[in-house]
Amino acid sequence: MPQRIRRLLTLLVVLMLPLPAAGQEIALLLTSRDGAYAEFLEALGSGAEATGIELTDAGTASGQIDEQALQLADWVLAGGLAAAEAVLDLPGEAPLLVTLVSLNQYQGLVKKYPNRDISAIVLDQPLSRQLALLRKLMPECRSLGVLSGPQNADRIDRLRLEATDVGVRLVSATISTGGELNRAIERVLGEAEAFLALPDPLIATPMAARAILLSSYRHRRPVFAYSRAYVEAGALAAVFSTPADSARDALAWLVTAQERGTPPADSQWPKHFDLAVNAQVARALNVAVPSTSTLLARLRALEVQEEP
Amino acid sequence: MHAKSSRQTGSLSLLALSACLSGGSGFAFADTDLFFSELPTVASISRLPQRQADAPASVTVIDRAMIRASGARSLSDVFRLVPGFQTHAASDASARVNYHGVADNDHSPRAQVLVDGRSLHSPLFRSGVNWSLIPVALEDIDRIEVVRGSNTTSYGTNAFLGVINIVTIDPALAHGASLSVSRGNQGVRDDTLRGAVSLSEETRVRITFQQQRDDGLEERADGNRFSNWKDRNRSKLLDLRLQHQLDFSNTLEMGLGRVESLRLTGRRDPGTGVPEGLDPLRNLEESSTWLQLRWLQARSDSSDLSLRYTYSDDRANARFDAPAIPPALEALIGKPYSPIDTNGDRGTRHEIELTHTALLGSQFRTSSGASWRRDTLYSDTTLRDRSPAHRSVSRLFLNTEWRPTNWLTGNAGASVEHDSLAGRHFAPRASAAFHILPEHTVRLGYSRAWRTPSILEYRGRSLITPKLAYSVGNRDLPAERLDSWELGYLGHWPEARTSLDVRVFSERLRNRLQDLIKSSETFGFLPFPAANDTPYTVEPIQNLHTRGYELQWKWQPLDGTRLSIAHANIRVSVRDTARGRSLQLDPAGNYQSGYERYRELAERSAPRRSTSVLLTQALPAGADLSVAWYRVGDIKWTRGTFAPGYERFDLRVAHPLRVGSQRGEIAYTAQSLKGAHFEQREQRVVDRRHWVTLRLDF
Repeated sequence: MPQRIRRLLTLLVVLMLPLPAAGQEIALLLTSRDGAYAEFLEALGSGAEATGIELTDAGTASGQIDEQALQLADWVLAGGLAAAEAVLDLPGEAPLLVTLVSLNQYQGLVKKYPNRDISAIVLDQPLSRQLALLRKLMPECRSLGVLSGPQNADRIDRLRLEATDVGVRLVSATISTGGELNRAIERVLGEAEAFLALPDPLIATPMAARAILLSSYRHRRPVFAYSRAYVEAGALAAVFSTPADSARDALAWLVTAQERGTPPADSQWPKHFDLAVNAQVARALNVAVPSTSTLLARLRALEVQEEP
Repeated sequence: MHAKSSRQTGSLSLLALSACLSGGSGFAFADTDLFFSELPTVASISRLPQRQADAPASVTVIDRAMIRASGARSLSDVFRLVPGFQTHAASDASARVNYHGVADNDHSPRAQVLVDGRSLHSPLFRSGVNWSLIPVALEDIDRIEVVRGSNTTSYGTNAFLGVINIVTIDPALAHGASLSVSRGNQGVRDDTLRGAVSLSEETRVRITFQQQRDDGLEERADGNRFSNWKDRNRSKLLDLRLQHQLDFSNTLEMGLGRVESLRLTGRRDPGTGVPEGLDPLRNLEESSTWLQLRWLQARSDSSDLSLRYTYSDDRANARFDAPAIPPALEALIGKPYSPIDTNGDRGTRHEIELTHTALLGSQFRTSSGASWRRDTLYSDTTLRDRSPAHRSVSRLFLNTEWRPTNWLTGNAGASVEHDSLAGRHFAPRASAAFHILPEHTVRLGYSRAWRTPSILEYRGRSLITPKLAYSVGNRDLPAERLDSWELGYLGHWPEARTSLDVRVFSERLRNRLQDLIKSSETFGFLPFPAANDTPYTVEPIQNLHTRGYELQWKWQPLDGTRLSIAHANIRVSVRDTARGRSLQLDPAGNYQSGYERYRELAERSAPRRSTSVLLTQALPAGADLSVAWYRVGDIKWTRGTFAPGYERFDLRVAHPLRVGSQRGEIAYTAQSLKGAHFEQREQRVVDRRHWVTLRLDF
């Protein structure tokens, strides 16, 4: 009962307010204020000034949520899955932009809240970008190994198409339990010249990462990964988006959204990204690597005109 | 995934997620965290592979595929594929593995064998390796790195002629469970059960139980006569390895296990078949039990630290009661000691080693450390009234790799070792590798290595009666010293999928020790002045100069075809040491009378030429076929024996099995397909041995 009253009140408030063309209300809800979220928030703060975007702090999903701010907002920006779910569990119509989530998480949200207007800038990198990195570091590479759990099986098919386009054969295996991992790694690395680690919960546990990396050294095959931590652990290289990159992408998205009055895209690959290379691993596996800044510049140059 | 679970318990999952984020130490990841969470460092400096072109020595790497393809049933067989190595089939004598000859009775004390860093040299087995007690199943070996040459600097004295570095499968990579059963002729009955399981997200363990049995080589008798020997082997192995990730940079590894061997030893009368009194046909029971703990810390991406503790306890028992002697003789020489156990009794080793590996700038990589070990030997028979005997060895070492440009790699190292029995030894090494083209390297290297004698060689005291000695140690023995020069070439043609490794060497071994020597100095060791009471001892009698070349060629002409050819050409020349010359003139000694045999052993314990060819061919439906061909020149393993040159063919065919979800493999292996030949000595006929192996994976 009280909820209905509140909804009614909100509706009244919304109807009474004139719609401003610019300076729309954008509410921000984060999952927490720690770690990656702190970095995201800081980058958002400094970027918001430059773009003229004004954000209303709606608290954190792990702490206090300012429900009123969320309900008054024209747009809601959520950082992290928990924040997105908190927003979606509340009544509201404002379009939601979710950041700091994986593609799988975003797809889960869309399925769970089919009637809501949800967009996302995901953390996963476009396959074309990962393949571009592979081509830059290993121009001779003709086969790429990849493993996935059932959740990402469809992604393998897309990857196979894109890889074939650039002349790389995909050697893949799908596993359904962690117990099948080692046999699958062994088979894939026995055939492929390099390995692409996907951010799949089944194959991204520390134990699985360790098995993948140790096998890759055994076969002297480099691993391409999706995070800086993976590279520090022993992958050869990775393209990834930092929380600050996500913040910049989010601001750009919001600027366009405000200009157009509609969300520019449902889900979007990150446009800003960073690169990490493990020099020790490169040396051990005999891979010639240009400096990180040169490599990053080349990768960015490749994508200037592209739109995911 | 996360979205689903949070349907009913949204707030709970939020809590879990935030706990995960802020805690950071938990290993369970939510989806987003995949991108931002830390992972344990796997690429520690010491774990990363080293480019072969940068290595300071010639290295042959034998991987899992090659071990399988070789058709080997015991580890020693694998070394037939490595140029410069010699081995023979086990019979009533256990197998031995030597590099460039220099054979001794029973065990191989000059080649260092390490399993995950643990040396298999044992105080009980005369500081050598007992090849009947190999503490690892072939199926659990990930790869074997064989250093062709010496490396006392890195692995301590007794890494003298050849270093065999066995790396077992990391528990993180072991999978599932499998059962394999082999049955064949000559009584081959082998069973292996292997398994790996995760105890938690941080802890994984693999465990293997293996039992191998055979009826040995066929004893061929002449006419109505018995052979004077008989053999039969049984071994059991339990091997457990656990790996626990303490946090993102610390790993703890534990290995423990036990291997037991039971075989026949001794002699019987060829006429009657009755066991001989002083060396009766009897069971030799041997065992080795070990524990190893290793803590590895990746301190940064450029340095790591490893602390290892090892304990091993080796036992042997071939005890028998001394035969009775006539009372008149007993009155003269005394009552014989009984029981007698020349193989026993027990040897223990504690070892601690600390190693630090670091990258200094972009040009230097260093590995330095210290170790300490304590050996104890217990033996009533061979250390009469002196048991137990102890030995402590401490060691400091430093190795540096220097890569100033992309065409040069320099390696230099030194170690100093203090041994409570052998004194202090300094071992330097240096090499320069010129990468004349990106895939072509020429290397020039020098190293000095030492082999310190065993506790028994120093302290042995084997008495038949209180008045009659059989053998005694020699406290004044110098260590054997090896100065080797080598010129190596390593070429790789990636387009042709072929590589070539050539090593030309000149090795000078000073003070080659030989046992079973009598001299006037040991005459009258006991206060019993009988003509035959001069006991045997060990003396540094020879200097050897070994020259030759080794080559190894690998070629993969087609995806499914691999060819690996190894060849070695070895010439040994011998000169007496000053001690040898004086022994030659010693009227109480036996060196003069046995001179030719000592000389022949020194010159011919490595065959002049040996060749191996391994061809592996993938067949349709996942099957594979491999054929190994070996040709070995004349060889002497002991003074009194000889084996003429031989050829040997081994073959293996394997086919994967898949019945429903059940996987496995069926394989047929045949050794010595061409039939009878000698490998160790003329009386030991190595004939065709073949077996079928069925493996089921679960």
